[in-house]
Amino acid sequence: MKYTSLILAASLAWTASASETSSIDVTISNIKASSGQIKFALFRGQENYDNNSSPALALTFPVDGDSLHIPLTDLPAGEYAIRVMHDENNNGKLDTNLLGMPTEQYGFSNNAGQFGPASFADARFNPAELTEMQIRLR
Amino acid sequence: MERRSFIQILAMLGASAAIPRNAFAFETKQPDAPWLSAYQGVQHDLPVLSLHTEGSWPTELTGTLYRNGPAMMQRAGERYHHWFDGDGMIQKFRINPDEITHQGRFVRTEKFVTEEAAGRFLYPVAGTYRANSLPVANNDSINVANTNIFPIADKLLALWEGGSATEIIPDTLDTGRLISWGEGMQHLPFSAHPIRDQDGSVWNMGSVVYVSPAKVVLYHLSATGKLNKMKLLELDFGGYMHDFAITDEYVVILNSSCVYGEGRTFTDSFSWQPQRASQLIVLSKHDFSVVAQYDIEPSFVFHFAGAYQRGQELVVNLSRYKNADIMLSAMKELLATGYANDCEDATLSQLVVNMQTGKSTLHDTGMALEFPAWDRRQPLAQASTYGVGTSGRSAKLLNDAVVGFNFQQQQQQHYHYGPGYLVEEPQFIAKANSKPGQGWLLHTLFDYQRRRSGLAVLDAQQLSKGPVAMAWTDRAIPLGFHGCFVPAKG
Ligand SMILES: [Fe+2]
Repeated sequence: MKYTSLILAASLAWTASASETSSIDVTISNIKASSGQIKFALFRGQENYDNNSSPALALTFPVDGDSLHIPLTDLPAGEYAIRVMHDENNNGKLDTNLLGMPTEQYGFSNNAGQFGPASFADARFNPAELTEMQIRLR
Repeated sequence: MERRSFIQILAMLGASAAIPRNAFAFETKQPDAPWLSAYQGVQHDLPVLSLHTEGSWPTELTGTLYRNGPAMMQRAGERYHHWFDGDGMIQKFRINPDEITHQGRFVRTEKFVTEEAAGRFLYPVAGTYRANSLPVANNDSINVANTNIFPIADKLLALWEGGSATEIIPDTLDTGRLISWGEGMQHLPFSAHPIRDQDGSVWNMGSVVYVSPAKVVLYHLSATGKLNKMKLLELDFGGYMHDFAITDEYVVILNSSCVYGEGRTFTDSFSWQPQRASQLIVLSKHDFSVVAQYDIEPSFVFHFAGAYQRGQELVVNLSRYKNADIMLSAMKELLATGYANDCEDATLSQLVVNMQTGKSTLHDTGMALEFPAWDRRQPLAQASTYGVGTSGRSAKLLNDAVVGFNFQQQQQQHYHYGPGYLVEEPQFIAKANSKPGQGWLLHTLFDYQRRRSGLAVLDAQQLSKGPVAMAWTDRAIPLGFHGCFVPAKG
């Protein structure tokens, strides 16, 4: 038993030093409207996430069904967070009502943000530590 | 796909999360406090059945009484602690000369549908803290549509003060869409107390305390439910607001001294601040501009009993609480223990503001009266105000009487059903070809000793004689908040 875990620990250490990158499978679920586009942005580090700028990856997908699978590969080590929105009317932005509340679907990594926008602290993840991420649009 | 997403949700929440067993605790309290069965709630829609009728049902009552209230109080052993939290169910009483039927249907809100499929509660609610709730997109994600049902054009609106109105189809009680009154108005709070004006148009407000600064949305709709105008008004502070009043010229709102701040739940975020004057804000019906704003005695109010102008004076009738215990603690205490002994009933009060000097005087009748109703054909100064009250012989917060008060004559009326009964909001229904003031009071009631639900009709001018007609069913219909009577056509 002890022997096995030593080997496992060694192989993990080797993997990390050899590649320095990780992969993660992201699934976006609960897509309601069939129109528009899903806009996906992956940010590395708090500053980029907070400023909603310089995403490590920004992708746009047509809507095809109520879920979407996005495999992310070769991510350099670091802390990341994801913002997703469903631009249902193709106007390039997340529409809001007069109080500034979103009227189109959105989501964050870790399904963070109980009552709206998620802080980086709640949405952050380290791709070296997990292989899958489910984001349920709300 | 739908099924898989629920499995994903459960995985996300951690299926091992401990489920509170408080539903069992609630049932064990019932032998000592049998009235708690009225708050038990139901787990399924209630199919149509006939009531057993007694006495002679007046022909003016041919039509339908719709009511709304919290009814899904527990799922998978988890029970809500605050009565305000339960998912709304519409109760429909169809009244004909030869038969009275009852049917109950849950409003299929987004929250209800999602939780029904999952077999458990998933979302946060206003008064009960839940760990590991699903994230909320906007206020309508947790809209329980449980407070009132209001007729407009040929539709009904199920109302909840935190979010949009939900369309209900009268014949089937099917749930339609969420109503957005105009561009950018999706999900804006639309209070549970719209007021129909003499010209058929409809006024309403919506309280938004959780933004800074706090705001109130003001609405004026045409008789057919089209938006005439709206305004977002900034407030000095976020006092709890549930209802409002209109006069010939004004819309009158009360920013109460129960103020929003920090807390784990919506209701826990409010605190009673007796050092802070409440604000009476008077707005022009013409353009919602602020005509005047008055500091008044710290007050907590759910329901107004109308307002009118008398020369330079503005007269506002209210069911006024001296503090906010009812919402902040007593409702939870009642559900937890069966008793809320420290809570004071709302008393019918009249606030008179001299609009020239700004001086206000509060006249408290001392009479417990909630869920006010009156004959809207009559000038309010002359009308009697009716509502639920108490015989003084039941536990606190248990309304066991129908009461009336006339400010002009300073006269009280009452009919005490007494301990054993819980009396709900009366509707004033005019008698055929009658003078203003002549009408019937129609209300629901629950007989917790025999565990049966009923309807009663009283002559508004002769309350003390008690019901002229009743109807009963052994079905325990969940207690509710508010409703409306829609007369049969033709
Ligand atoms: Fe109310």
